[in-house]
Amino acid sequence: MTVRKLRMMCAAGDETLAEWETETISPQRLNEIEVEFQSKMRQGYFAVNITDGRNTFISKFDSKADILLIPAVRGG
Amino acid sequence: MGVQPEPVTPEAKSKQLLCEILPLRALQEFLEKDYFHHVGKLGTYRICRNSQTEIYRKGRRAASGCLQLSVFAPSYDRMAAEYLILSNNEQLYWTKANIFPARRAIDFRIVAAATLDLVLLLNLALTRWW
Repeated sequence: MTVRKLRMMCAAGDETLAEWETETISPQRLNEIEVEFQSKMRQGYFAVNITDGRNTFISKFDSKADILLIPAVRGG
Repeated sequence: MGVQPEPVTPEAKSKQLLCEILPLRALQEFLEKDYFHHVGKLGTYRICRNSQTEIYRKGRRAASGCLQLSVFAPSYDRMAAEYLILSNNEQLYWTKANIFPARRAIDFRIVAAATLDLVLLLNLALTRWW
């Protein structure tokens, strides 16, 4: 059984927005998570597939991946 | 009566996240020194917790880069974000970050050599004069 997470960097360090078992999650719940993912992407977040150290940017939701959302960045 | 577990602080959570992300070599360096290096195509980056990222080219510090998250977050999150951006799209880092060229530091070897030359010249002049 594989558990995946959608996490987001925030003031608390990071927050888990969703957690699911890849084999048992319902299509409806998966759709809800994907909608949340897309909403964050529209806000300028970067999404990274951090499964097993892959650390690659992604632009589409992948239900088989651990995903980290990084807020938009700017020069300091 | 059981002991209450200590609450996990945002700093501790973000440090844990950074440790999950970093490759082994960078992780070891980070745990020892609180900073780590990332070797990119445009330079080598020393990503520090409490100061700007130092950018090295040909072994010399060429610039420093300053990148911020658009939301308030612990500094380890910023380090993780910088690493992930640099390892995926280095050009994006250069587009987003403020880059400050390094000021050329005084090379003390040159100053020492110039001082020695001056002393020798004075010595020569004094010898001839007397």
